[in-house]
Amino acid sequence: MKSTINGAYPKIGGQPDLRKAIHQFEKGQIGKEELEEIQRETIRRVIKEQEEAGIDLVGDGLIRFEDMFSSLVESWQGIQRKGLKRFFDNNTYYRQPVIEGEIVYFPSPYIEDVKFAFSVATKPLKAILPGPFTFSKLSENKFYPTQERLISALTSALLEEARQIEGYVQAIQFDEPSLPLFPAEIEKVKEEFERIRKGLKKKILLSIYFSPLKGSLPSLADFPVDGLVLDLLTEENLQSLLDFLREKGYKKEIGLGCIDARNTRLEKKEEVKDIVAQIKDYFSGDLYLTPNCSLEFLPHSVVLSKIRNMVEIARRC
Amino acid sequence: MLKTTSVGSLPKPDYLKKARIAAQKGEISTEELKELERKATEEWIRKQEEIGLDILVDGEMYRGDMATYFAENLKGFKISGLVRSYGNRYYRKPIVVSKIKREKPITLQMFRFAQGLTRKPVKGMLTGPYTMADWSFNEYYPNRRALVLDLAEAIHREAVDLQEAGAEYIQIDEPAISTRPEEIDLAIEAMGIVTKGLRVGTITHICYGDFEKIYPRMLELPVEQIDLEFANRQFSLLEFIRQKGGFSKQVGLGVVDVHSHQIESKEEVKRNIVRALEVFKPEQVFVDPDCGLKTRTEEEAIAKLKVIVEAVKELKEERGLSL
Repeated sequence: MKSTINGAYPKIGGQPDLRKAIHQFEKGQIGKEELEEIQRETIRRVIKEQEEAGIDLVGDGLIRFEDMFSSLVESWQGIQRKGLKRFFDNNTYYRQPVIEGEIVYFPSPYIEDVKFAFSVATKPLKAILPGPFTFSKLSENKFYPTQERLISALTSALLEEARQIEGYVQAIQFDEPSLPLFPAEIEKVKEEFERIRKGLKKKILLSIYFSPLKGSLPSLADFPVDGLVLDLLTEENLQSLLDFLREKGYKKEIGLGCIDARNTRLEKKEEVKDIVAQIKDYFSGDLYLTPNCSLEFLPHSVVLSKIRNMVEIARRC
Repeated sequence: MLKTTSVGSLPKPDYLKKARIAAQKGEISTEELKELERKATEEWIRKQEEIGLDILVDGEMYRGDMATYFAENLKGFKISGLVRSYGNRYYRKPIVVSKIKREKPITLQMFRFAQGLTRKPVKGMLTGPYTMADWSFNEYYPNRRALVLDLAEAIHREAVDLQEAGAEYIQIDEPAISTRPEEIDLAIEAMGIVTKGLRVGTITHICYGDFEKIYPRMLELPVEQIDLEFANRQFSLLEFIRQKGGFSKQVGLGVVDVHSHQIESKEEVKRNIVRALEVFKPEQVFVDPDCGLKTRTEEEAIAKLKVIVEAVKELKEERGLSL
């Protein structure tokens, strides 16, 4: 069984010291180019750490992103970063995107980060973007007359960004943690992903985390993506997935989010293997073992232990 | 009425920042560090008196982070590496590894020191049990409730000690309380344990959450005052509270944004207090920044606090409210 990560990777811990560099940049002690160089070196580090741990599909770590939207919002027109808001139920905060005009796409610097990651990685790479639905739900809309129009505009911009990236990655993952909170809206979101699917040639994945899957998973059987990445840390979510596999006969790829990226406690290998075995009873497609969400909720040293442990488990499954 | 205060933390002077790093490396002793913490505390008490604030804080010169500090001083915790809070801000997140116990007073010594420097009231400042639990990795307790309730007992003992030491106000910070609206009963129960039998003014500070999701249940929190950030959300909460039927407790009105370098103008702050007085009665309102000012420079923090005091003073004079 293969392994991957599921979002951002700790920006600090190890060298270079990106935290210090950002402080220095804010105080005018170093220039933009110097900061960019340190960001690139950080991407090099996070890929090296994942490769050394044995991860099969590595991520660039979203090193530039202050939150899941920041670099995109700063690059596009018609949208601004405003007040701090809590990111779901975490002690982590994002600056809320506020849509003040028509969203006009401009390429974000993340594209260059992905190209750099591609140039240094020896393993296949996965890029991660926010999904248009979650983007719309976590934003404040002061411009578009309807939520549908906003989501559509966000899909267009995200698709443009994804097109610039896809030549360098094996897969593009869209994160939609808001989706299970609004199961009635999934059908509409499918239409947006139809556009994304048609507009891209590479594998696309849908990642859902933090919330119960029960109400939404059945509707995801025909979601127009090549695979699902699911947070399986609760008994309920595991049961929902088993029911889903039994009833819907899902055949596409699944990322099993069995590694808790929000608790320092190290996973017991046998417990995770048992979960994988239960899933294999109903599923014969490609499986990846993955953290349930971004690794930025953990300290760097714990992440190193967790990903090594994850790879050991995956290889035994 | 319209008493002015601040939320808790104030910027550490450079000499203290350097000393904290030196102490971590073992280059200076704990006693040397504590001496500098007392020096910085005294400087902030003097500055707050000069600015003219009504209720002072010790400025938390001895704390790195509001949750980590208490975790370092309670049995049952160990401290992990750095995790991100927002932007380029990180904190050392506590890990619960055994049963929580308060074996000794935590903030008492510094409260006594700070209160001894001034005739104005200094707030006792505690981090609430729900937030302590929510901002820690739990490797020990079987569920969140068990952890929160043990923390509540520990923090209650600290609150009782602060009351006995003469605190007129005790603030129990619960910024995490709106994180999971479905746990509001637990948060209310835990706050009830913390404030049980207290005869002093009790405050809880809640920030950067979805208040809409815990209103009106949040008004059941057993405290006299709920302190909220209004400036960060362009005072949109005022309209929400007005529409939903008001506020049955005292309100701490955050009128300056603690995450912006820009200093609000006196006119802007006055205008926003006037808007608030259309929703709250003057005797209900305490005026302060949105949150702790520790991330601002010393100059910015002083300027923001001065704007608050000057705006309130002018407003009271204009409206003939008692000073």
